[in-house]
Amino acid sequence: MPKGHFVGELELYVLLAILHLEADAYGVRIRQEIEERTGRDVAIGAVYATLGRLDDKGLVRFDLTDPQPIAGGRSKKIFALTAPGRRALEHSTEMLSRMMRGVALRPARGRAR
Amino acid sequence: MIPTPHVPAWARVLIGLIAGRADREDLLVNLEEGAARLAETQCADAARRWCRSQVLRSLLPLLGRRVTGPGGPAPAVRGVGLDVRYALRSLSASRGFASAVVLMLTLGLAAHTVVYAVVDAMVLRPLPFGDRSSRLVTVHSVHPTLAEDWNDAGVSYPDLVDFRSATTLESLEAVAERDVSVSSGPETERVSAASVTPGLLPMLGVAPVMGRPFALGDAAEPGFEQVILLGHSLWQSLYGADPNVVGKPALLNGRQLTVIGVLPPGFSFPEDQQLYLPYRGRDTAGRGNRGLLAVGLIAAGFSRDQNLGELRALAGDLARRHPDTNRDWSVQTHPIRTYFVSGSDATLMLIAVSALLLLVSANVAGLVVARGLARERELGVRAALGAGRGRLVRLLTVEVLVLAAVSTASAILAARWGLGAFLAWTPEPPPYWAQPGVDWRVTLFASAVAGGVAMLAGLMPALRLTRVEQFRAFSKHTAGLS
Repeated sequence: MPKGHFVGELELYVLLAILHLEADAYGVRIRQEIEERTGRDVAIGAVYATLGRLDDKGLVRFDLTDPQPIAGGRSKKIFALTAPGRRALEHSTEMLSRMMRGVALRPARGRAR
Repeated sequence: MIPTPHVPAWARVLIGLIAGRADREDLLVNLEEGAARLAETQCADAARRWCRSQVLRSLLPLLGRRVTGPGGPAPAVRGVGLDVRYALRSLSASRGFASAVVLMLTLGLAAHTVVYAVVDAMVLRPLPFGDRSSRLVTVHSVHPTLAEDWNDAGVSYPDLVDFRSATTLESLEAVAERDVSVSSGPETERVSAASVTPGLLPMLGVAPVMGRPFALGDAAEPGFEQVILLGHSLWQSLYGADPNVVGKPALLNGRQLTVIGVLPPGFSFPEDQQLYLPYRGRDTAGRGNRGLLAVGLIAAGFSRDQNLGELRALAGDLARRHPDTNRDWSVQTHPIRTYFVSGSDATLMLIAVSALLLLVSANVAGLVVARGLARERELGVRAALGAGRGRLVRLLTVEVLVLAAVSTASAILAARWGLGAFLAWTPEPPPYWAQPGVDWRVTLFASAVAGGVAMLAGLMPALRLTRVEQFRAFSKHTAGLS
């Protein structure tokens, strides 16, 4: 696997959010999905910058929806993983779980989550 | 425009400026959707707050994406960084070439910077008289028998009083320079002073920083004045910057007067005067005694030509009424700047040093070509390894740019010193408001000129050296090697 296909943390979140959202995977929903699942309040600009990077690497692609049915309504970009995107995601999660194997993480003190 | 009622206009503008073209619209559509949902489920205020926080926190990641993304400057900047590092290494290997170029460029740029600083001060920099600068004129008497270039003769006091009736003038005041001895206690100084009509300083927009200005009642014939205003530097040197100087006595040519105020730092008029006396002409003064420098403020809405026309009509009237003293005497006016500084001389000098700088550029270009020919083999290898012409041109140009940057820094230091020497040498120092200095404007201009010179001396030879046929020579050199 080429070096460029390792993904960073936010990239990983974005890829996973796209998989969760399927046909609903567009900017503000991806941001919301990450926030709901991780509790992390990501700026929408950071999501767009990440989507742009993933697009450069060929890991995601997008289709334009039909314009919204209101005056001056615009299309939205709906994102999906490409085949290399899926492979990169599998690879990254696989590497992560391999690294995790045999490591006992102590629960953070005083926090029950 | 996309309808985004929940996204404030400033946020739309910011996103438009910072987000890449591909993301701009989609980002706004999505922001709007997020904000609209919040407005529906919570309130309009929550939507506004969310939108503000989202946009502000998005600026940095979006900017980062613009810089590092495709088409952003980061890849090109990285390339130039490499070139600069390579240029430094290769220049340190040929110190003779580098120091010759730096020396030539430093001298050329320093001379150019000194003269530009003078031109900037005399011609380009705005005058310190605020919005009235363009309406201030000096008024002079002219006579057909006077030489044509003698156009700065003064005005007599009675004529001045008559010229004040001109409706195209807001005010007309006068100043006469004189030297006086002034002492406070044991200290005595010979200073250059000015007798001014009481309205002159207010007309120039100058008020004392301490004490009061001249009142009409202060005006007196020379030798009968009761009060003086001190220039800031005389106040410091003679009175040790005494904060209670107002009301103190000053001995002027042996006669005791009272200090009524101190003028702002830096101010002096018409040249380097540091002491001001309130002036009124002698009642017996003749019209033929044309010794005052008259300064007028043209009334708003009138042109200099209209004003000159009216003054000439008045002068014609005076010539008829007082033929003994005023026959054939007329009037000329000059914008205040051109009266004090001859911008044309300085501009000519700038043209001359610009020509000098061109010669320097040509010499440097010659050196660069010579060095490039010596490096033909290296350039050939680079070309053979796939460096395009653009890449080679950049490599050669960056070397000269690096040298130009070093030269600019040393030229600006040299110019500061050179300007001091120039001002010490010049017989008539310019008035305080036209004092040249190497400030940020001059520095910026010098850097721009240096950039232009570097492009001229680096780019031209680089384009020449990297012509395709140059590399034929390389294949000739290396034919026997393979």
